Amino acid sequence: MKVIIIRYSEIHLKGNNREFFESALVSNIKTVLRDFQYEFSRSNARYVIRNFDETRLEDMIDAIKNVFGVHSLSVAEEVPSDLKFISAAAVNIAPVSGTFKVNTNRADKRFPMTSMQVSAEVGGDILQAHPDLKVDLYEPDNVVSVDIRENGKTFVYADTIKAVNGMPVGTGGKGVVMLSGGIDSPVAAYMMAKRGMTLRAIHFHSFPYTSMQAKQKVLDLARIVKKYALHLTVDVVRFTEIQTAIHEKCPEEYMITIMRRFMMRIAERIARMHGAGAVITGESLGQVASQTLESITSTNSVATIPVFRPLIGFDKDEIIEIAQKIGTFETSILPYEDCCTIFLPKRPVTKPRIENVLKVESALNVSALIDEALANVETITV
Amino acid sequence: MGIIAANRGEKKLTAVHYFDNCATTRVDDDIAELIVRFHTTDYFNPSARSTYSLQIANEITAARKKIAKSLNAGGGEIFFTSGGTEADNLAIFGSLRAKRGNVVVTASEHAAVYNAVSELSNRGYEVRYARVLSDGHIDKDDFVSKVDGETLLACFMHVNNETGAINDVRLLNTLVKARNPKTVTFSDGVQAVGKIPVNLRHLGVDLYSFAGHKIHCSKGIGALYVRDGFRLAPTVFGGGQEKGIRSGTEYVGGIAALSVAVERAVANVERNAETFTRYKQIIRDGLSGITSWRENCQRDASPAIMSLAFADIRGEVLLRMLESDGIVIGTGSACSSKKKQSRIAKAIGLDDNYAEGIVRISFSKYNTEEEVRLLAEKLAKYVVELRSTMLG
Repeated sequence: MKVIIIRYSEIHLKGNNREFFESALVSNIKTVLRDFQYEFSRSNARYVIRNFDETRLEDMIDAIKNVFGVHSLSVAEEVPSDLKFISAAAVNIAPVSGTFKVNTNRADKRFPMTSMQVSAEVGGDILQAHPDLKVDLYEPDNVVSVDIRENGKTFVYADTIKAVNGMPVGTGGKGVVMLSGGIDSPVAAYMMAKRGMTLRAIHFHSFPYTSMQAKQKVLDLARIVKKYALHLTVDVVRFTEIQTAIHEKCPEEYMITIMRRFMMRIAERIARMHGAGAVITGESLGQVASQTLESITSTNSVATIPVFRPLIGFDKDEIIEIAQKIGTFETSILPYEDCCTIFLPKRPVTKPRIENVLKVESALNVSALIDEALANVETITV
Repeated sequence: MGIIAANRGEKKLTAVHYFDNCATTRVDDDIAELIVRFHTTDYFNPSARSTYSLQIANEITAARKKIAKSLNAGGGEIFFTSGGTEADNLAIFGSLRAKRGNVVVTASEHAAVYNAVSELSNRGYEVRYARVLSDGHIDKDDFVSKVDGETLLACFMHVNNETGAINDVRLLNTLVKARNPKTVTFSDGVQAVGKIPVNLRHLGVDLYSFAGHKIHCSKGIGALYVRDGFRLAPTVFGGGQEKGIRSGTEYVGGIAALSVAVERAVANVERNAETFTRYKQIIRDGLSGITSWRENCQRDASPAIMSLAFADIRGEVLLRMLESDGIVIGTGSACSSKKKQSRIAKAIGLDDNYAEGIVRISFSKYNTEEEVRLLAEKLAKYVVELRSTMLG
């Protein structure tokens, strides 16, 4: 019978909290497998999935390998712990050419042979069936693993599929991520979900200056992020009035600085409303005018909860690489304006001084504008 | 859900004043019914052996003749396709026989021609791009000078879909053929048929494409005119329909509908032109109090298309503001609005502060003078509003 073996990552480092991490991981795995029929069991430092529809194996593996906290997967044959069955399964899944070795782990000490003996016997049978194969104990192309369990059953498998690692979502607190529709912010969301954060997203929308297509694009991105974050709600904040107010009352070169401060304040308010303890942005140091140290200082100074910037030290190329890996890149590059580009000044300040920012901002009724924006939030569960 | 409604969480919003008829048009009720008839009652395969099928085949023949007659061509010269894009691709890829040579085109062509020709350069042909004048017309002298003994194909659209500029297809054809009689001439007539007079024999081109959904017929049907005696190679192979040029079971309902739509539109060309010319004047008058705007094509323009450029305004934002009054206009070509910069804005050399402020108003017979007045009024209002917001 085919089974899926799931191994988990850093969780084994956790001492007393282990049950907390494990139960989150198991629950997350069950969430991504909600459309499948299967039997789930926990065994020592791994989970085993049995009795599933083998025609849907690939889909199940794709789902599980994107669950944060999963280290790797193997599709194994589960056979009675009897050399005859073990060998037959091993011959069946072994490669037909190249080099290989057999790796045996004998948890069941009642089994009458040692690990070395099992490896030698099984390896011999494989060689006999596939004469083109060669044994290489040190740098084999393939490893056939034999895992003799205490319950009288043995797992035999050839491949180990790498998964995403990280920490189970739900174990790292809750954060609110600002999703702009660009390349960076979905990657930032992914990175924090990878560290176990539960996410909520915020998008600032400036209809009619930005289009419904731009909003749709953000929701499409959120749907992709949700594959990793597991649950995601997007708060779409109507930003038009704030933007036009800034545009009217503040010098053009401070547009973005002031706008970012509004976004940060609103993000924090929304975070507090939903019990989130951090704001997440896709900023990368020096990438654009609003991401210099001075600009970040000016934005950051309105925040009273931690602001996580997981991409701060990343080059654009590195961010794009992750965006491509997680599947957000193609959507991110669709050419719809986001609210950051619509009123883009020709020469933004790159090193805003906080005292100037405060002076410029004093022309606005900040709290009234924020209250109005928060009264116009559209909440969408993707 | 309607676009504004989705934004505000309100009920569905339907466009009541539609001025984007270059993108597509409302299908006439009787034409929609006709299409349905060929799906539910007269659904037989025209190539099958029953007498019912023969009747359907006869309907196709009749439709072909009707279209040919409306455009002064022969019935044997009309080949049905799935629309303008397919007709354009068939013309371009089906007419090239030599493995080497050059193709002359302009940057003002619709994406269906422009990108198909660009693909030819990937396949080893030389593509020569002729200049476009500042109002969207093809620069005839430049175009013709690019034609030489190695020119296999020359593509010159009839009516520019973004500015409405009408090119002198007959003259271009004569000049191209004079330089190289072997050069295949192809004109994209998607925005011309049913909007301006089209006489295919008189134009003289080898190939000419058009589509149903621009003239109140459905999407999914178009045609390529292939001059009698011209040998076109198929690009789709199969059951040998359309004399083997375009295999695939015929979209009978679409074909019958196209014939009605073409005949009807052609019959109304003059009357519509008069009406639309009046509409354009209403809009000009409405904008008379506004500074810094231009009409992108004022000479030899299609009466159905009015392309405007406003300085310091983003056309897209203007479009969305008009939505709140149920008014729908276009910006450039809907088929290329997924690209960031309009090729045509670049080609016609608009100043930077005008380049993003292009909007396209295109009329149909369903527009009324009253709603044109509303459009003119709102257009002026929002331009003023937007400028005061954007310029601070």
